[in-house]
Amino acid sequence: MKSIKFNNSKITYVLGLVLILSFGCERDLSDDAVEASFSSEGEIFIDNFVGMGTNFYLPFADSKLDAFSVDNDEGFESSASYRVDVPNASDPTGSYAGAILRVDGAGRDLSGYDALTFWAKASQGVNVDAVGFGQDFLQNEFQVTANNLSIGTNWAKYTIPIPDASKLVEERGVFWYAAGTQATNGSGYVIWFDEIKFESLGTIAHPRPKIFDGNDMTQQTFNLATINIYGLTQTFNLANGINQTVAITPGYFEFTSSNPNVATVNELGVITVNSPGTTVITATLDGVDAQGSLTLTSLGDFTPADTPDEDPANVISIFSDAYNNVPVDYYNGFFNGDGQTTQGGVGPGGADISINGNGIINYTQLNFVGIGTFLNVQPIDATQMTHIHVDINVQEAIDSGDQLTLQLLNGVQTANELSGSVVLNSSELTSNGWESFDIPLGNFGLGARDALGLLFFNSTNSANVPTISNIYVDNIYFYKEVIDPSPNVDDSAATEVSLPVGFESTTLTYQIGVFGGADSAVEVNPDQSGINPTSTILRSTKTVGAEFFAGTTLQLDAPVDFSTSQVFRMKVWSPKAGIPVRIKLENSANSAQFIELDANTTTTNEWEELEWDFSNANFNVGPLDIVVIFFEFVPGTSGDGSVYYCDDLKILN
Amino acid sequence: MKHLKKVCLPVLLGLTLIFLSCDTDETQTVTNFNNLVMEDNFSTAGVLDSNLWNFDIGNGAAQGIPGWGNNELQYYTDRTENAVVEDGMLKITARQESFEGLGYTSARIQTKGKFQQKYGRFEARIKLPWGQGLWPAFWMLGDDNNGNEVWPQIGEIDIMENRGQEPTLINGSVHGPGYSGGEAITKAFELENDRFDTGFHIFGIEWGEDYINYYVDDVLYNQITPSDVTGQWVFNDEFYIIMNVAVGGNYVGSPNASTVFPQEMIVDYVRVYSAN
Repeated sequence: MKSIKFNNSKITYVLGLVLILSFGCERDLSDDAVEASFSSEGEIFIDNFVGMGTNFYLPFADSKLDAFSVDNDEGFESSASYRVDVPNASDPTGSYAGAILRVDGAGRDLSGYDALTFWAKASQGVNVDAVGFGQDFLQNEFQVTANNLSIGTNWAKYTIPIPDASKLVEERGVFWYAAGTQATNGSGYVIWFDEIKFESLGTIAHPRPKIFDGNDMTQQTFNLATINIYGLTQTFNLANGINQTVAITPGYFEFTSSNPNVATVNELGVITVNSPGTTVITATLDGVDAQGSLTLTSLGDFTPADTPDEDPANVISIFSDAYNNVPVDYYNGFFNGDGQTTQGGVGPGGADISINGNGIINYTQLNFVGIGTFLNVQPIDATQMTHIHVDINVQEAIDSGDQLTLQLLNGVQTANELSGSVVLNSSELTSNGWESFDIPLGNFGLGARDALGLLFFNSTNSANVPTISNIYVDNIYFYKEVIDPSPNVDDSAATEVSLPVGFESTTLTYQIGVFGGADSAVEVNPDQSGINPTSTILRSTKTVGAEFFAGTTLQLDAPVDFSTSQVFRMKVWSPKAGIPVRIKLENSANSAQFIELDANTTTTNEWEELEWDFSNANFNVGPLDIVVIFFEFVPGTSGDGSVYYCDDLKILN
Repeated sequence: MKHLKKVCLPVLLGLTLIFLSCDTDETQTVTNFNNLVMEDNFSTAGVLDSNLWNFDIGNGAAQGIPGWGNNELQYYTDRTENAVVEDGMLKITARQESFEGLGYTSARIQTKGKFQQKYGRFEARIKLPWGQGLWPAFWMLGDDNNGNEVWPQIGEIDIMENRGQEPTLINGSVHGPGYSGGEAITKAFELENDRFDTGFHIFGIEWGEDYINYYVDDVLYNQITPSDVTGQWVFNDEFYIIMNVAVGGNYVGSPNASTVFPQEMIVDYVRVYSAN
């Protein structure tokens, strides 16, 4: 042998072949040598990668991209292993390690194997978030995931069973993992994998597939609804007696609808509802009946909520198909420790029901539920917004005492956490019908809304008893109401001070009062531009240290006439955007009789027109002949010397 | 890596063995035990043949050994829910149900007084149940000489017993005076690339004067002789056959949430041969 001079490249080739064969378990040399392709190769990493090609390491885009290396000092009965350095949660280059190993080339025929096996150990005992195969960043058709795989500090062999190997005739995604530090308080660690390969163990037994996590579900729905089958798992009993469950993709199942006229299921596990009636959705995996089912009843055609028509430029959407929604932590925080019972808000994008592409949240067993935007996403800055919109369809009879409270929290889990709420009473809600709510954000009484982090729907009453248990919710968004400014008021020829008031009369006496530390006067318009070029306006200054409720009053000579319209308008000029301006209309004969509402400024140092819609106010009061104007009516916020102006008070015809 | 070799059994101590996985054209040597003296192929659907089988009923309290001496959790019945012959098989079924104050039921059948024999080949073809806490067994006890002898003096030959959480392993053992319970003389046999609960396997012994050979399918995996036991050799009189599925107990531990019930031990046949 020594006398023969080999071509180096040929040596490499031959050695590589022998290396493969040495792990190929008693296959005959000549048999393997004539196999030109890796099509049925089971090995992935032994002492190095086997037949993976060149570009096979594909990390998740948001992971630490270089968390993987080949460790040439550690190995299971060898000196090489696949090493993953899971980064600290605070690592700026990526907070977790995750990648797929995809054959760079044609897929492999794995139909002769029954499990992916590997040896592994970790620098500390850890439940690794996910290890599996079948993810290829293409269709991920046959993905298999062992979640929370417990890996100890000594080498041990792990087995991830193949749900149905006959499906894997051309599989490129041969290994994948994702490992973070949620279970280790943010501290990184090391995992070593070795001897990663597909094997035919012969000891993978007693398949117990499940859909819907093994539950028999029932659901009422409507024509054109699409429903995703979830909770897909396969469980095998392994040689060591462990029942190993893996989460798997729909591709492994055969789905059946007992009445295809009512609904059909496609190979992706998506149910499409076609016509009224009832059908039962079941599945088999490799001939074994899956535990779990869905009994689905279509009630017929669905009436959706009205499609929103706000300009997207003026909207911050939380949940709507009409707009791009902002990132949300969750549509159900499951605050079970606080007694929450509410289910729902857990489908794709929060939509429990999807009908003809229109997603709807269905909260059931409702007592309270929160939509979160404060954990891992940017809290919502609604300073520029004036309203919150939500469509609600109560799916049960409504009793007189029923109510639904919307609650907004700003600065969640900060020292400045603020909370405000608005109650929708039973008369405002409809059973089995949509009601649209456009609630001025000022009505929530929040001191700030620059970092909204939670929106609660709460059906409990004052006795803390839930009143409404089942609602559809759609089109949750904040928006900025853009009011077409109304014409300027010219009251220069008026004979009495009554709405509309433009402060232009030189003969009338405008009876202005102040309280709480405000200072006020009718003055020359300091900013005769934009929508308000008129000469005279009303100034209201919240002097430094003034009460938060400091304000200005205007005594009218005739009470406000709400007979044809209940919409109050006023032009305002404010140095602050997003502050509430409260209008209170009072009976001068009885100050306990009044109506009041907030509207919020949306801009600074320019005239804008705001609207106070008293349509829902309680008019069981006497004549209202005093207008009280509060700028920045925020409890706890005392005056800071800000100067505000207002003009053109009117009832909109 | 540990590579277990599948052993094709050559001529071993004069046994006739059934070769399932290793083809051979060799003619086996004539055995000492080829005279079929008892067989039950469970070919008549319904209840067990009462000319051959007795039921042990209860939790062992009546026998003075509540929990059958092992803190077992089941109540044995003779109901068809727990033992039935169908499809040409005996099915002993362990169930999770409240019954007579216990949480599980099962069955234990034996041939005491109906079929007893000294020496011979005893074998059965069985598919085992599975899961944590299941304890199937095919075993024998020695005649108690009308109650004048007690265990372990009477002797016990465990042809096969299995822990449900060890689906690839069975154990073959003997118990006698000075080597009973946890001190039994035992050896495990492990299947390579297969398990005992997914198909039928033959469990048997060849028992003669001063030896007991243990085999599974075509593999002889142990021989126990008087020199192996740490006390008196008590295997020179008549023994009877017992088949049962216990639930829980010292040997196997209790079932847990992962244990699937009901569980069946399915017996294709029981056969006994004597010497020529």
